[in-house]
Amino acid sequence: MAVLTTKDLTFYYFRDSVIFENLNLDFERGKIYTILGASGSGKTTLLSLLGGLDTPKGGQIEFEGKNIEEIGLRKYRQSCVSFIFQNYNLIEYMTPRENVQLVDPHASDETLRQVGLTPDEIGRNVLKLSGGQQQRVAIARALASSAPVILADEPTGNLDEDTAEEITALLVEKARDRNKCVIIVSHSPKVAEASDVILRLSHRKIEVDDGNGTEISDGD
Amino acid sequence: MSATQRAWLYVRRNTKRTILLFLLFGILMTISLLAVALYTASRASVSELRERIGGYIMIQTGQDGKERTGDILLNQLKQLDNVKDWNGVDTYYMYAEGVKLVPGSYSGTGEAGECMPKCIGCLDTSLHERFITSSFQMAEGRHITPDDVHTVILSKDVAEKNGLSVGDTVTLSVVEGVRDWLENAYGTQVNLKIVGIYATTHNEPASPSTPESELQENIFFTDSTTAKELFVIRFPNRTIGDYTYSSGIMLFLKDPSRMDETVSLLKQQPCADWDGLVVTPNDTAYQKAAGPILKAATISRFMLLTILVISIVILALILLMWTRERVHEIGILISLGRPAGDIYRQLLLENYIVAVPAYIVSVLISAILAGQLVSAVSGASVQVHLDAVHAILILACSAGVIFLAVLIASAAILRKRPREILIDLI
Repeated sequence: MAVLTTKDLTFYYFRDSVIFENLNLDFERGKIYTILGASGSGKTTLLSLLGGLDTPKGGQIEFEGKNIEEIGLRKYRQSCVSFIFQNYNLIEYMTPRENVQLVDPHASDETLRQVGLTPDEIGRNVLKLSGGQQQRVAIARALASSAPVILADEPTGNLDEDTAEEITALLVEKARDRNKCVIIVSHSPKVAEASDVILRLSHRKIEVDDGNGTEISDGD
Repeated sequence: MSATQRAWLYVRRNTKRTILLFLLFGILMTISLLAVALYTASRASVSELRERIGGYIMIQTGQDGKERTGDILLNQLKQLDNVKDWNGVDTYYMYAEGVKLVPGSYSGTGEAGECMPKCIGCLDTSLHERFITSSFQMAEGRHITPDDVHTVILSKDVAEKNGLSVGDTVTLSVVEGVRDWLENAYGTQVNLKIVGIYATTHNEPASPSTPESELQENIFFTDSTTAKELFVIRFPNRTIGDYTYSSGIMLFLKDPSRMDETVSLLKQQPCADWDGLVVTPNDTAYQKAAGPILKAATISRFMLLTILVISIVILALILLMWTRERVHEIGILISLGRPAGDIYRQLLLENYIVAVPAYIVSVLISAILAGQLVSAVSGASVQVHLDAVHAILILACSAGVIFLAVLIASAAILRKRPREILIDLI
């Protein structure tokens, strides 16, 4: 059963320039999804809608069969989804441990150790960590959350190629271990390769490639 | 992680901001505490002064001299509503035997006048204008009261010049050449016991035309009974019932703001022919004494209002600036599903955590400075101290100002839709 579903999802900033229209998508637990598309194709907008940061102009998003607006967008963001951002978005005056405790006050250092941080790094201010280490903290924070869906926007965009590959592998592995649904917006073919389903957004419609053939969702 | 824990971490780890905020709060709170203390002390002093001095109505015999201001009239008028106290004042001149006065430009009355002080007979010297306005203050002994007989208060200068002190006796006598005394009174002597010694507090410039007897140091205050005895000696065909308080009767009011109303009521009394009396409402003593204190009250009220406005503006601007720098952090917290109230609570607590120690330090500093500020501001003799009520009042006001400032500063961000705040995060 899909954990997250879009039903006839439509969004536009102006009526004469629709970003996408009548998208119907299913996202399942334990699967990795990559959304690809040219700049301006609406990848980030779709991620914002899935994350409850914005509201659609038409259609709805359901979490485990319930409209997220009925759940309440704040509550939905708190307990149903977690985010990983390109620029890490950690709270700067906190340590990695404290950043993780933002989502789970009782979190142990285990998750942080699993993403490769040493005990010394775990207690250090996040600004004193490298970009790769900061992104590991962001991943640990998303994993520590009880939310079953992780939304990642260009999580490796600020990292060098080797680190990016390492981080992607880490995210995929740990998310699968925890049976989480991961939806990644990326330009990286490497990230796409690591995912189970690739979603290509272009011209108001989306192509879904799950390895068993391509399906097009455009509402027609 | 709770808002309190986040606030505590923020305060601990942003030491520069915390120190700056601590100093800002400390300065504003100290000034506020001092202003409140001064304002309250000034108001209390004005109120006490109004009660003590109030205004008074002077009633004097008119030019035709027909209507007299004696005890019969005084006993009627002191019953009036709004009359708190009264005094009868008589002025006369006597020869003070063997007493050396403070020398003046000239004696004014010939040979005998060299030792002739101005005598003021009073029912109650504490209600004489010289003492009310503090131009004279008791240095030793006590005031003359209505029950005193054959008592005198003289100046410290005269007492020192003649080696006199409280308990000693001075003799006043009638000698030839002293104004309108009748011949049969010559040689009359009255022994007066010194019950008090006054000190002058201000220099009163004397012109070359001021006679020695009019110098402020040469005034002898006597009791009213003595003045009445001398009246009978002076006018042998009159009785003590004819005695007139030559300088007038003073009626002191409980509430000087009802001066006009009381004067009207007074003139309706049938006990006197009011056309033959001069009624002068007078609150100059109050105005003179209250002037510096009212000035202090006005200054402190202005300070308070200015500080309140400036505090809110400065705090709001600084917090707005600092809060805007934290859009990123607020966005992260929103993406984690934190409610706006929780984020606002964190911002508020961050300020309260700094404000509380700043307040404690301010109270300590203000308590020390309170007494010294008053003379610097107004020169008025106002007893200033910081009491618990003022301190709690400022604490409550500060909490309110911070609450408002944080609300104003954070409202601009928290009112936005999450996507607008997070636009730079995604």
